[in-house]
This record gives sequence, structure tokens and C-alpha cells, in this order.
Amino acid sequence: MDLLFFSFALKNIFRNKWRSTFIIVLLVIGVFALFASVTSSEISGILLDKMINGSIGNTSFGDNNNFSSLMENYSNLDYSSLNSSDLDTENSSVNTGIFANFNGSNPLNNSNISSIEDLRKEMTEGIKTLFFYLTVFLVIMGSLVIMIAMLKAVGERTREIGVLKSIGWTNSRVSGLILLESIFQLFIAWIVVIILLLILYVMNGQSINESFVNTLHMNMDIVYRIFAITFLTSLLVPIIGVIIPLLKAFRIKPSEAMRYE
Amino acid sequence: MISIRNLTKIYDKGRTIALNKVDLDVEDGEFVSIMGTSGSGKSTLLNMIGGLDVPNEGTVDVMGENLSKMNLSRYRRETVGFVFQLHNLVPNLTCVENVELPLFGSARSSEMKSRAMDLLKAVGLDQYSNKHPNKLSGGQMQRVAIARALVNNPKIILADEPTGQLDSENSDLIMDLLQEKQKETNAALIVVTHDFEIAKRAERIIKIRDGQIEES
Repeated sequence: MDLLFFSFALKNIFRNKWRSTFIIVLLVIGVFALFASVTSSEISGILLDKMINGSIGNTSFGDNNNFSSLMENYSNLDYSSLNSSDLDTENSSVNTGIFANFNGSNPLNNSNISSIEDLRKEMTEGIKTLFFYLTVFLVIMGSLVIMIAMLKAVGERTREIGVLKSIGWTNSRVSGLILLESIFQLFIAWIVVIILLLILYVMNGQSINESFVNTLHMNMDIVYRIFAITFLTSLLVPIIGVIIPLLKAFRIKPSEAMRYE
Repeated sequence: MISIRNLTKIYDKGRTIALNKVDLDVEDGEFVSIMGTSGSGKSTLLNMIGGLDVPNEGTVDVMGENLSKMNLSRYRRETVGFVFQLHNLVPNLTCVENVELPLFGSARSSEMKSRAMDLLKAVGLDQYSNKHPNKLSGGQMQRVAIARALVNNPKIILADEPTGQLDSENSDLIMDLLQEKQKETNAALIVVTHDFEIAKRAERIIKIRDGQIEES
């Protein structure tokens, strides 16, 4: 692919600054939301794991630092007089999920939950499912916004697309240009997200190592994984978002585009 | 070079007959002008020859090959050079980049640049190569558009009212340039125009009315 092709795509982004800024801001919000979703999902997994097997950083769970003993304490309570708001608020992460709405019944007596292991699996699966749907929702919403913005962009450039086709550009080249513009916008959004994250860490007075890795006993592999999953998921947004605009560009006939004002 | 037989184009689900059984032959290196009133079908005919539109009936053969069986993108890229009434330059690209556009994918970057610069020099605009089209006058923009149309050494140059937006001085300049380049390359030049002064420069004037060739 030629350098001029990249330069053309970049110039197109900066041609309409307002529209590009609008798309990039939306992408930044989308990437942030995806990042938060993936990070929360990863942290939730670690929290559950640590709750079962021991302590999380400086937080302890009873004398045995053990989730099983914690659950035993819960199972000895008289649940008939309690509501969800009465549960131990110190361990808020335990007050969520299936505990949030037990309203008077012992969750451990639920016929679907035969053991602590089942409970852990159910909670883990529940959290994973929740974050999966959240991520799908964010990808769909982001794609819709990109699609609307790109449809407008393709509409405004009908004549230009017609000219490009009339001088021999193929549909694949025209669509490659539109897709490349969209990916460039995503990269710009990513740069903004990374700068914002760095600013947040600096303002917080902590390094990534201190805030993420030490506190949550995460290793850097998990941090890299979070970034990788977020990046790959966010790539879907512009790709899905430009499918319909690309089909529209495909259908533009050069002779009709020439008459377009 | 170009052989058109029984060419028919119908728009609006049969309500508008833009071209009605048109027959036309154009030889190598020939300069033909097409005249007619608005809506007579002259631009439609040019679009059919340039592969920008497809007929409902009839055939367009170029160098013995039927256009309907050809890869039209390739045909437009390698065989045809188009000059439009409204120059149609890409506003956010410089003049030299606009001239390079048809060469995307078929030439190396250095070769593209060198050919584009040669053409800009030929149309007298090499000093504007890094300027954007909005910094140029109407006549200068049309000269850049001519450079873009010629950069792939086309065998057919099609010009749809190339002087429609220009004053008489610039019109003469543009037509001189087109004819000069046509003679250099021995390409067929087909110009659609309202202007008889422009049309009479051609070796042959074709008058078209209601989608049919009236006289040739």
C-alpha cells in the first residue's frame, strides 16, 4: 500500500475537524468503557479467586482468611429476620450477585447451590456473563455511532467517491480508504485514552505497578492482557461501524455521483 | 478504436430515453465534438464510452473488445482519461497528489510523483504542485484536472464541457492544451460542449437530439 494512500486517509480525517473530533471523543468514551469493563471483569475474577484461597492485598476475610469459613459464618446466621441491606457491608463484593436479593432465605440452602464450589462457579459465571453482555452492548453502541457518523461522511463525499471510481479506483480501494480512516481515528482515540490513563495515575501519585499490580496481586501479564483484550475488542467497533457505509460507497455509480451536489 | 452500435439507455423505469439506438465510430487520434441541448443525451453517451454507466441495450467496443465484458475499473484506469466540467479535484490533496490519484496501485511512489510532476510542468503548473486546489483559479484547476486525466497515458480522452465554467481566454488555453496532448499521444479526443467555437476545433462535430444522433 502506498504512502500517499495513508496520507490521503489522514488528510480526510482532518478535513472535517468537527466530525472527526466527535467520532474520536465517542471512540475515547467507548474505549474507556471497554477498558473499564475488561478490567472489572479481570479484577472480579482475581477477587473471587483470592476470596477462596486467601487474602487480597491487605484485606482479610476472618481468622482463617478463607472464603469457606466466611461462608460458614454466613450459613450460621438467622436469615429469616434479615434483608440484603443487613449483610456485612465491609465485604461489599460478597454483598453483590446472588446475595443482593436473597431477602430472608439462606442462599446456601438454595437447591441449585450444593456447595461453596458451585456457588463460586455460579458467581464467576454470572460476573463473566454480565461483563460479556456489557462489552457486546458497548461494541454495538459504539458501532452504531460510528456507522451513523461514517454514513454521513460517505454521503458528503458521494461526488468524491464517484470521481475516484471514474479515474479507475476499485470498490476495494475506496472501501480500504474509508476503513483506514476509521482505524486511524481509533488509533488517535487510543493515544488519547493512554494519555488520560497516564495522567490519572500521575495525579493519583501511584505507578501502574503500585495501583494495579501490588494492590490486587496482579502480575503485569494480566495488565497486558487487559490492554490486549480491550484493544482487540475496540478494533471491532470501527470495523462493524463502517460495514453499511462501505456498502453504500460500493453502490455509488460514478455517473450518478458526478451529478450529486 | 471506438465502435458503438444500437446503444440505448433508459432512465426512470422507462420514462426517460437518454439514448435511443445510437451508432457511432471514432478512429485513433481523432478529435470529435458532441453538441446538443441540455438533456439531449450527450453526457450519457460520454459516460457510456468511459465505462461510467452501462447501457440497457447495444454495445460499446473499444479496440475490438466489448466494454460489458471488460473490468471497468481497469478500463477507466488504463485506457480512459476523464476531464469534467467542474474539475472535480480532491480538495484536501495537493495538486501533485491529485494528479497521482489514477496511478494508485499501478505505479511505484517515486514513479507516480515523477510522472505527475512532468504533467504539471506540461500544463504550466509545476510551481503549484504542493498547493491545494482551493488556492488556484478555475482555469488552473482545470489544467490540473487535465494533467490528472493524462497521467495514465490514456488512449481515449473524454471531456465533458471542460470549458463550461471558464472565460473565453481560459477556454482557449484549455482546448489548446487538450489538443496538444491529444496529438502527442495520438489518443482519441471526444469533447462534449455547448459552445460552437470549441466544437468547430474538432475534425468532426456530432449533433445529438432527444437521444439520437442528428448529423455527423
